[in-house]
Amino acid sequence: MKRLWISLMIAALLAASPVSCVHAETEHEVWTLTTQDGQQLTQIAAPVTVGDEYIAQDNRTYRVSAVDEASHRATVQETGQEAAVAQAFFPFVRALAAEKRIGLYCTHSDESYENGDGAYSLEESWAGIHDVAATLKSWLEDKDVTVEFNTDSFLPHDAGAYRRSRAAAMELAKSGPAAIFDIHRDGIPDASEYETEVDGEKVTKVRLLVGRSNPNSAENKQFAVQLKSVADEAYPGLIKDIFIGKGNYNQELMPDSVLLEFGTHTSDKDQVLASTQYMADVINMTVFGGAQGYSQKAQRAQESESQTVPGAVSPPQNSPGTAVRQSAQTETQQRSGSGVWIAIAIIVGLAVVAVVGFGALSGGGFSGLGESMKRFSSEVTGGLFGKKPRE
Amino acid sequence: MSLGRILLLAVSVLVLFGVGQRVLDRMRLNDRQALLVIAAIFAGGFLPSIPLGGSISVNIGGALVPFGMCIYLFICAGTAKERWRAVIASVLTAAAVLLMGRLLPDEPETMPFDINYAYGIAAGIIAYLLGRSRICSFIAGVMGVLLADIAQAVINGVRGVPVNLNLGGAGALDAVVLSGFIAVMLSALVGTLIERATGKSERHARIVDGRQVFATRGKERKP
Repeated sequence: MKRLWISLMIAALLAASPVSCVHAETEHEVWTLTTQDGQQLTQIAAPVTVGDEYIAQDNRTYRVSAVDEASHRATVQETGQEAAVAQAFFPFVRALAAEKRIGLYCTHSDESYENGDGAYSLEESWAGIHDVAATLKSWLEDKDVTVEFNTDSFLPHDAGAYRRSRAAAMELAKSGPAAIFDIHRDGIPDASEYETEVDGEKVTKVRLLVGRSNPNSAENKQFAVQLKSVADEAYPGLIKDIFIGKGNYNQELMPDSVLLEFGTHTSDKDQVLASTQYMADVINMTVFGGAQGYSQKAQRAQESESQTVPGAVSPPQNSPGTAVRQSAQTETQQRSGSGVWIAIAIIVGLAVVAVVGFGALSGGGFSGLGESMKRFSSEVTGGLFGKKPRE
Repeated sequence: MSLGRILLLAVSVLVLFGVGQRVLDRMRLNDRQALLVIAAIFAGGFLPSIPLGGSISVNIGGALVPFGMCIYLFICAGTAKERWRAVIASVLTAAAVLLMGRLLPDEPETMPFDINYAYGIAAGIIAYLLGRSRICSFIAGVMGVLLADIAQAVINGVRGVPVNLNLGGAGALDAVVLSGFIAVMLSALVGTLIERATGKSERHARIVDGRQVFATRGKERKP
C-alpha cells in the first residue's frame, strides 16, 4: 500500500511538473542543408540526420552525408535526378481510384500563421491550419471529390501528438479513401523560401514530407514524387520540395499518404489559402486523373451559358484511355504485390529467428524446441501427427 | 503492411508454434485463448469506435479487448502483491508516457525510433524492475497508455484546451496494443536472458487440479 502511495505521488509530481505544462508548439531548431561546395539548398525546422533524403524543386536528389550539431548544418551529397520519364507519362503510371474520396486531418491542431491568425500557435478547437484544410476541402469538393475532414484536436503539440492522431488517421482509412493527407505548416522563420507565383497569383509553396521509418516509405515517396511531377507540369513552382526524414507520420497506414506543409508560420495566410486551389487541382489530377483546372461550378456556369450561347464548349473531361489505365493498374498491383511479399518475408523471418532463438534459450536447446513442435502438431491434428503431451 | 500488424502476426505465429508457451503459462493462458485474444483485437480494431458521449469514444480492438485482458490477468494474478505491483507499474508507466510526450522532441524525424514502441519498452522495464512479472508487464503496457490518454484529456479539460479522447482508436495498430505486447516480449526476453546468464532457473506458476502451483525445475510447491 505504501508503494502505491509513493508511486502515485511520483506520478502526480511528474504530471504537475513545469515541464509537463508546456503544451503549445515551441520554437524549433532550424537546420540548413548545404551542398559540399557550400551552396545553401533549404532550411528544415527539425534536426536532420545522416541518411535523410531531399528532392529539390529542380528534382535533383540529395542524401545527407554529414551533420554538424553545433551549427545546425547538414551537408548533402547529390545522388541524381528524379526520372523525367515518370513525369512525361504521368498520370498514366498509376491506377486511378474508382471512388473519388480523400481524407484530411491536422495532427498539429494548434499550428497557425502569425500574419493572419495573430499567433503561430492557437490552442483552440479551430486554429489557422484548420482553415487551410477546410479551404483545400472545399476546392476538392468543387472537383467532385468527396472529402472526409477530421477536425479533432490532438493537443498538446508534443511527442504524443502523432500517437493521438493515429486514431483519426485509422478512422479515415476505414472509409476507403484514395489518399490521406496530414495538413501542416512549416516552422522555418524565413517566409521568402515559401513565396512564389502561380498563374500570376501570389501563393505559398507546399513542401511534401515523407517518413522513412515505416514499411510503406517507398510507396509514400513514390506518391509524393508523383504529386510533384504533376504540379511541376501544371503549376511550376507550387511544390517546394520533398523531404524524406525519420519517423512514420502515421504513413504506414496507407501507401498513398503524405504530409503537406502549406507555407510557414511567418507566411501570409491569404497566400497560403490561395495555394490550396492549385494543390486541390494537383491532387485531383494525380489521384483521380482529373482535368487541369476542372471546376464543377465553372462547368455548371458554362453549361447554362451553352444553352443560350451556341457553340460554347464544356471543359474537357481528361481521362486516360482504357488500355493505359489497365496497364497502370497492373503496375500498381505489382508494386503493392511486392510490398505484400516483403511483409510476408519479414513475418516468416521474424518467426524463424524468434522460434530458433527463443527455443534455444528457454526450452532446453533445440531438442526442447523439437518437443514443443511435436506437441503442437499433435494438438492441431488431434494426435494424428506429432507427439502427445505426457499426462 | 505496418509494423504493428507484423508484430501481431509474428506473436500469433509464435503462439501457434508453441514458442511463447512459458510466457503464456505465466499469463494464465493457453494457445487457443491467446489466439482468440489476438483475433478479437484484429477484428475489433476494424469496427467503428463506440461513442461514450461528448468527444470521448473507445475502440473495441484497440482498448476494450486489451482492457478486458488486463482485468482477467489482474484477477488471475497469483498473489495480492503481484496485483499491487501491476497497479503501481501501470501508474508509473502512465507518468512515464506523459513525461516522454513532454521531454522528447515533438517532430518524429528527431527520434531515433518510433515513439509508439518506446511506451512498451518503458512499461516492460518498469514492470520487470518491480517484480519480473509478465502479467505486470502486459497490464502496465496497456493501462499505462490508457491512463496517460485519460490524464491528458483531464489536463486539457482543466486548461480549457479542446478535449478529444479516442481510446485505442487505431485498433490493432494503437499504442495501447503495441505497448502491451512489446512490454511482455521485452520482459520475457530480458528475464530469460538474465536467468540463463546467471544460471538460475525460472520459477513459474502453473494451474494443477484447479490450484495455482509454483514450479522450479522438478520441484513443485503450493503457494
